[in-house]
Amino acid sequence: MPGGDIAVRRDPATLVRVETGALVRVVPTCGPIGSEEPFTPHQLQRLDGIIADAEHATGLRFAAYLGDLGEDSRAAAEQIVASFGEDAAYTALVAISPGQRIVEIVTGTEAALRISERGARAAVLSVIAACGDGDLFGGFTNGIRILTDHAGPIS
Amino acid sequence: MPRWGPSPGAGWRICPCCDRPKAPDRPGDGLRHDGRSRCETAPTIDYRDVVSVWQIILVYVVTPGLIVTLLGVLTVGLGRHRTAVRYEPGQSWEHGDRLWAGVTPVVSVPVADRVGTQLGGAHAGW
Repeated sequence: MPGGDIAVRRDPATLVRVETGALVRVVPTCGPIGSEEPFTPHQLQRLDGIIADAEHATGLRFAAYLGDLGEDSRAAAEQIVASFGEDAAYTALVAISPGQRIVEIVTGTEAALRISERGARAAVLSVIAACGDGDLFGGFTNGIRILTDHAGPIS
Repeated sequence: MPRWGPSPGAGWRICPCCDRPKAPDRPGDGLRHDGRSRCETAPTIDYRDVVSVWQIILVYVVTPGLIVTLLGVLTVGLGRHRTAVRYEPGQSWEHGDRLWAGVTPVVSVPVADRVGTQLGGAHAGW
């Protein structure tokens, strides 16, 4: 895996999915993968559990993105959703760009039928409340949980 | 007299220090006749080998201290580089991009005979 000073490639379509246990960690095909992880192993374990619970409950695909979203943050977030291929329509993405202080929530075409815009807005408000306090992990967990509640269980 | 336990009997002798009767010698039961102690000094316990003060300090202070220090280094020192990146609102974010997603198979459930055609979502800043 390349690292060091290689420039980060901001094209989300180039993300590669690497399975690590139950959680799929998607990393850029190139770019610095430093030793500084944004979350502790315990937090990653909790995030893994929250995503797994949300997917079991709703049948949708949940994803969390942390990083730069570029100039057109909406387009970048939609590209990340599109990178899920067949699951893209059922994907709900919570994307946080701390540098830009932007939160994007994107729901796929089928997921949008389960998660209303009101639900997405509620999740966004919860995420920015946590991120405003510097709690990125709390932003992800709150956002995913609210989206899960609004999507409802598999009928 | 009662402090010496049973009544004197066969084998007892008079202590030269205090002129009190002393029971027959038993292993480990000694009297310190150094001119300053009394006869009722308790039976002494001696190390088989002479142990110095520094050896005692080494066993009871230095060795446990080294063990505690080693455990502390293993617990705190090695995990220090694993601490999460602390985000301060308003500061730049110079760390790599991360994306996490689940692997649970998606369950396709028709929603009231509708077919989704548009992406949904919301965005905001702080």
